[in-house]
Amino acid sequence: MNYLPRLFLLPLFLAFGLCAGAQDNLDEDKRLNGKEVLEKFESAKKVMDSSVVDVLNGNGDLLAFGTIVSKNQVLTKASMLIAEEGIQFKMPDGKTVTPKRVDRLANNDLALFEIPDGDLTPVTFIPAKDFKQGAWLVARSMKEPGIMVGVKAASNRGIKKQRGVIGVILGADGDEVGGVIVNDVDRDGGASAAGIRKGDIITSIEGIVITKRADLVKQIGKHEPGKLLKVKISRDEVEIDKEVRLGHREHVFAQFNRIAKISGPTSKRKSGFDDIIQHDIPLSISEMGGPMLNVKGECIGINISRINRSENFALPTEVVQHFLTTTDPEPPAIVAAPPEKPEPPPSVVTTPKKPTTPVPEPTPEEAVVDPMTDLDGNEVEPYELVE
Amino acid sequence: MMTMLFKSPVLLTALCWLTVQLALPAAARESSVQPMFKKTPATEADLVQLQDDFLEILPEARKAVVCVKFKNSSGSGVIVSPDGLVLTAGHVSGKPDQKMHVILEDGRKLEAVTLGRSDFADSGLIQITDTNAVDIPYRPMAPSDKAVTGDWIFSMGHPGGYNKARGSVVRLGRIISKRSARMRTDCKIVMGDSGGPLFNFDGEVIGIHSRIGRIDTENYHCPIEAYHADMGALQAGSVVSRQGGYLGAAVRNEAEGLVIRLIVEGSAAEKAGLEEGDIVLSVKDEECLDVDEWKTRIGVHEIGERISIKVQRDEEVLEFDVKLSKRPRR
Repeated sequence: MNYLPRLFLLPLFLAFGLCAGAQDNLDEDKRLNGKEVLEKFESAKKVMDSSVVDVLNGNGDLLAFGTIVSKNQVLTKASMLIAEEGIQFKMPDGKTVTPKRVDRLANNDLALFEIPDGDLTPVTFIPAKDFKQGAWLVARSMKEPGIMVGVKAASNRGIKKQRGVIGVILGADGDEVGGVIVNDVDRDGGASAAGIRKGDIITSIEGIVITKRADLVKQIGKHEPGKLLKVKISRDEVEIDKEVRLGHREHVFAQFNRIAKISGPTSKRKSGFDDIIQHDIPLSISEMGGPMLNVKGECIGINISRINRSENFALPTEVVQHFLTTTDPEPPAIVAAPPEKPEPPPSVVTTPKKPTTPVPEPTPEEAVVDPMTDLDGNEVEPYELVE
Repeated sequence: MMTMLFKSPVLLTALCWLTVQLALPAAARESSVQPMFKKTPATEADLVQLQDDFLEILPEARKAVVCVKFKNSSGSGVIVSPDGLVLTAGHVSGKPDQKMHVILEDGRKLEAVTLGRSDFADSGLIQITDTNAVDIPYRPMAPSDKAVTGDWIFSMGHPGGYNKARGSVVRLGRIISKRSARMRTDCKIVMGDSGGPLFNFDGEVIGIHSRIGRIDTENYHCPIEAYHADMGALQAGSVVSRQGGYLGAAVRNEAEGLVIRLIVEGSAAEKAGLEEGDIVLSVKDEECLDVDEWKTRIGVHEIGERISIKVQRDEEVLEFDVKLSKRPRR
């Protein structure tokens, strides 16, 4: 029997084997944020290339992106600028300019800048209120090809300013004690998870020496849930360094803590937003401040916070519009067909009931409300349980 | 096997044809006849079509997603029958016969009880027992083998616990790889999502979230096939564990197929007559052609159970009746 002609089929056998193996894992280029998918978002890419700036510090490091909202105005994420000097913008045409900060309140963590003699191409905002869960969202990215995609993940809602909690009941304080005594520890809280016990004396928070309960509340109040706080305690005259994950009043700590651990760097400011759009685009903390575009390239908001590994927040058009209205005496009409009387979205900052301590007007560098008063303007009771 | 093929021109021709078909690049086979969720979008219009298809099915799929609450912990699940059978992860339902609660999309909080689970596949079942439960929304389980690598799918769940203002969360992605007991996608999930559903674009449940991968964009789910395979045992409240019946044969995927490469001395496999070099064809009359299939099919059986294994040895097809033993202590 002549096997020779049939031997030509051996390469085909091998090809079969190879192909069968290759079918197995989906090629990276074909995945959600793979090259082959991203390159199809042509309209959105065009807008990103013409209407987004890079916000840099004096060293040329990328702090955030900025969204061009009119011929000469740019919005970005305010808290990324704290303690940074020499802010510069790298413009779509490649040139670097020194912008002028215009807002004073950093409301919703937005900052408004003006470009002198600017002739920029703004994004086109459309109302975000009808934008559906599941619809495409495109964000600016520093990785090639310059965009990343995902979908609107959940219902919009306001996020009240949150203070982190460590889960202890405080006792005596003062110079004789040398700090604040822990009278009891919540078993399901961050302090307990860090090994802090009843009887320990808290002596410093983030390097700041503590002798009074009021100081402890104040220092903790500066940080949001999720922050890993450096806490020094004294136990039997020995000083011990602890790292305590700040918990969230509403969340089960154990789950919250595990999500924080697997998420890598997250935005420091995760709350105090009048309304947010949640999405799943895997951006880093330095990629906030850019526009959120739909598949057609229309803008429905501005990226504002990386919450965790699967969750990001963007401010919708309506919040951006309200910010511009309250900040700029002649705000640009950013929505193509604005309503006659734009209704401000329900604000999470309610009118103070009994203003005891006047809230100081923050300078652009200090974008957070004085932690000794809550958002209602009420002074925090210094001997209150630090939950 | 080679000689057998070389001797038959008919078989050879058939194999050539099959090989040519399979050797064509994947792109050439992605014809326009296929629905959008089976393709990589080729244009911006394709992206819009994919989105429209997704938006059409999402509201229906959402209704069946639940939050599973037990003491201080929280997971997710999906209702798959009108009488309230809930699929979740094995590590969420845990011990059988425990009281839990499920929270529906419309806010209703219903009493439920845990049924069985598989530690091997991380599958679990919960049954809604609440007598107040009427008009329970549900979505069907997809049939076996419908979902394949490359399909666009979406994950739903309650990450971080139930949040009324937020509602359940959705993320879009594609199936990266699929085996009988484990599926990998690039849908993002975190703690709290465990037990939540993976849906296809027909709104059928194709998987349940199990584990988070090392990177954001690779995560693991228990495929629906594992639920179909174990449904009887799970509904009966059994725990299908890794420590099931022991065969004593190690297999390996090779060019000829699934080959037995080791027979443990004194094991059930040796006693039944299996030999090294045998090529596995089927287990209990169901085709078994890769290592994960093998592990699932053997692993679901108990100590003392008899299963039939068909192998190819040289040119013969042989069938062995194996009585599974206890796993030997190391």
